Amino acid sequence: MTLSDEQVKSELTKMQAFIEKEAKEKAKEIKLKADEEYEIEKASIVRSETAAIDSNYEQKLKKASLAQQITKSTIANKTRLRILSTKEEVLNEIFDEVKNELKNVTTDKSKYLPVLVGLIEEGVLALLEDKVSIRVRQSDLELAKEASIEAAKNFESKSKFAVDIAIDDENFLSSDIAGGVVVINGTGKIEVDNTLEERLKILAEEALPAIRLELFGPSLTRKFFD
Amino acid sequence: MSNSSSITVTPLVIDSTFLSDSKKIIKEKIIAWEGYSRSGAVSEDDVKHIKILEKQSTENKNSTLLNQLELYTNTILNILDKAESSGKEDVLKNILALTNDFLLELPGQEFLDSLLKLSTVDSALPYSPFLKLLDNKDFIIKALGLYNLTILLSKASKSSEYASKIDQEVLIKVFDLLSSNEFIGNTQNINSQFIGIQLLQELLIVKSFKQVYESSNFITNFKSVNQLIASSAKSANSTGLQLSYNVLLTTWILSFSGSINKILVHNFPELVGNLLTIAKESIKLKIVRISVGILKNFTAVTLSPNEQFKTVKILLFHDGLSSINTLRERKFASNGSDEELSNDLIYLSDLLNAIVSDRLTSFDEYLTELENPNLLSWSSPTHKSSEFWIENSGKFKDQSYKLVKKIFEILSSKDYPNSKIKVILLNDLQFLIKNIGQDLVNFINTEKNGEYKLLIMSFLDNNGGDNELKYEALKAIQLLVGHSF
Repeated sequence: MTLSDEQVKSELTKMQAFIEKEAKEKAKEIKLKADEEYEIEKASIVRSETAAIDSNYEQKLKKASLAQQITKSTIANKTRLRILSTKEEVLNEIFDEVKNELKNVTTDKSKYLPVLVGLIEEGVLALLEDKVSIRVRQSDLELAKEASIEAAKNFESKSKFAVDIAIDDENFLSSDIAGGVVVINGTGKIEVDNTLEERLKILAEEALPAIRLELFGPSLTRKFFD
Repeated sequence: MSNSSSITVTPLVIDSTFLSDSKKIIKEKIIAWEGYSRSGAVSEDDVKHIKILEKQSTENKNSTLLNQLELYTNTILNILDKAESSGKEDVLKNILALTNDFLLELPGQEFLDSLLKLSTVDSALPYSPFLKLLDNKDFIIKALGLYNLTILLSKASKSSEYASKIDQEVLIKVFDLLSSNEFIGNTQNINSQFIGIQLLQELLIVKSFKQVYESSNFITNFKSVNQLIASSAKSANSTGLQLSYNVLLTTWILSFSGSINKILVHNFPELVGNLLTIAKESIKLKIVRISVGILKNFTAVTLSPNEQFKTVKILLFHDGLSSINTLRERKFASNGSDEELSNDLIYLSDLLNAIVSDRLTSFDEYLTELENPNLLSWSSPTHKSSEFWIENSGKFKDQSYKLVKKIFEILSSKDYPNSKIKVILLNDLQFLIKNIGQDLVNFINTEKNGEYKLLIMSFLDNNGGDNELKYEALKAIQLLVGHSF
């Protein structure tokens, strides 16, 4: 059965319409898929970039906070050192003043004599020899003679043997110092430095903790005490 | 994507002879406007304007409208509103059809834009006049109302200004109605289903709308779509080719979201199987293409590699690998006639092969069955194979008998009333007891104060006449109370 022209035309039109429709559907699918895949890709890129930015900023924050901590610590240190050095200055001032005061003490003979006795005695006891010599300032020469006699007496009663204390009248201690003696043993090889400066030095070291406590109060941040 | 392309997107034209015929009938019916004006159902002014419009021929109608756009927009909405409250159905139908024509026919979409502009003035407009009609009893009124709403919503979503004015409740109501048995769920009336699915498809293309669909009544609403897919799988002709295509296209659009895929695969257990059946048996290229596309998305767009693995296992369970290979050999997939189809098939076959050779064990198959108890069947070789049980029983002890507890959970759950499932599980328990021994017996007898043991015993009486169930329960009890090993 052959088809008439009309029928052929109608069939062709129908086929054409059908093909077009199928093509349109496929085109829509392609577009939908493209849009969806775009969304998925975009979301994943946004996610990863956000994560990168976040971690970047975290790093920066860490660095900045670290730098800040370092600065803080440096400043704290510097300040502490300044405080310490100022404290030291104060202490040194005290000791300097004491040194000057010492010089005054030695002018008062009633005060100075017992000190000298004690110093000489101590030196002799340290050496424990039967023959020693002492050296003093030239200005103390007379007083020294007096003191050495008493010192020798005290020594003998303590040590049960006599000592001969000679006073060096050729070599004197510098007249700049505040006072005191240097006790030298028989061979001249051992010296006991009992000058007032030396005593002050020793005292300074020993008394330092107490002085510090007295001046500045207890340290709030100290942790170790032995 | 506010300025994405220079191509203007035209409003959806629904393919439905039923709808176009209905519209023609409506427009042929003459409305007695004067009468309504006198009774107060429509205001005098509005009647005046509408009569001017009606008198014109089609071409002139459009230009008349354009000349006084705002005026006629308000007129139409007023009449719609009044007619809705007074229940004048023929007026409603007339105005709805008129609106629909104007929305679709103006090449510059001026009427559409004019309606949307109203949303900046009044937050209820332009949707609520149409939304109210969705409760009407007449099908055509609902259909035209939904159609107009879809056109409005679809256009609005493309501009950020109007998109922000869309109330989620509007979308939810639209989705619920479309998915109900008035439209997509109406198995008695293909026309309704066809109209419904096309509207749903158009809306789901919009990403934000898809999210609303997912977050509100998703599983309930998808049931009607799933039902259509199932009937397409049973016999392609009962649903009609074009309807099947649209249903599948809608599902494909949904499948671009990993969270949606997870819900679909786990809550609609036959879905994957049905899709494979459709792909294998359909003669139409576009149907095969879309079904395969959906399956590809199920495996490619996933929330985690674990989810992908679970989905692949389900595919394999339904004999997916051989189906895919068969498809690849068919003419229209291999001779380069459709790039997307062949790409998707290659992707799927590569993925399935990789997993089969690298990762799958029969134990995985068993686990898949436990996770999807509706898949439990004797066809799986694991249940009767003594080697399987010798090899794998130890794993059932792990994490304090986690898998055994799962078995009992399924046995006691009301979700799986099919007694075959119970029979298979009781059979499995027997193998486990034989292999693990006294430890398992003690566990079953003492765990939860012997609840498990009671459950098995209950099957002796409570088996709905299934003798096989009674028998398996009896054998299981025998092992439980028998002497120690």
